[in-house]
Amino acid sequence: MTKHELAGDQRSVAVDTAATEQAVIRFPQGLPGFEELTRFFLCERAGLQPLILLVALDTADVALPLLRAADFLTDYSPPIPGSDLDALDATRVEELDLFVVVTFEGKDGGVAANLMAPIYVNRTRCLGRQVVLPEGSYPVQFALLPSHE
Amino acid sequence: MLILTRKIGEKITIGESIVVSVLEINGSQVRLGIAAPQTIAVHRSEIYERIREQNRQAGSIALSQVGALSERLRTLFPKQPIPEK
Repeated sequence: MTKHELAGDQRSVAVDTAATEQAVIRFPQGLPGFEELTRFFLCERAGLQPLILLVALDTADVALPLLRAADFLTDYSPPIPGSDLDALDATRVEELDLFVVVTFEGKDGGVAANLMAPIYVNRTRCLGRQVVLPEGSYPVQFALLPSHE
Repeated sequence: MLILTRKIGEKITIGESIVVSVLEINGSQVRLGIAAPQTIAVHRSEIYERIREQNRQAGSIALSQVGALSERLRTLFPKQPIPEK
């Protein structure tokens, strides 16, 4: 490896790191099941669409597939308690991006979305929170695709 | 663990702002009323545990599976209405 190539690699890594640092979204409470992880970033790539990955920064092997709720679901407007808005440093729900976690069973198994615990992100403040809604409001497993197995 | 014995109508106070009341006892079932500030989330433990499990399962997706999953999801148009519960 030449000095020039090495310098190029170093510059490339530095740029990537800076981009990641800017996009770090803090989840001060962690996520249920991952309470110890508080720093994530949203990986949005054309090849992944419609999925968005919520990637943990402090471990190498945690990435949650998300869907932007508005892309797939009509009539999904869960009420967010004022305390959750406060925690997200927001005054109105319109300031927040709303995502749902996608669960799946195997390669061709059923695909579902968790509508009872949506993820809200305040991109301006770089804050995120998974809100557990009151029981009976929305299902934990809302089927999106049936199993093909 | 603190263990307390309570009768119907009696209460337990936790901290300064959480009150748990025993409303009804029916066989092996106990109905509790919980008064807590909005900032305190109150859920049945099994619901919270189910959400934890779902997150863990979702979070363990291998990168090799993401492409196939997104391809399947691209078929999901138009938007799905949420059925009445």
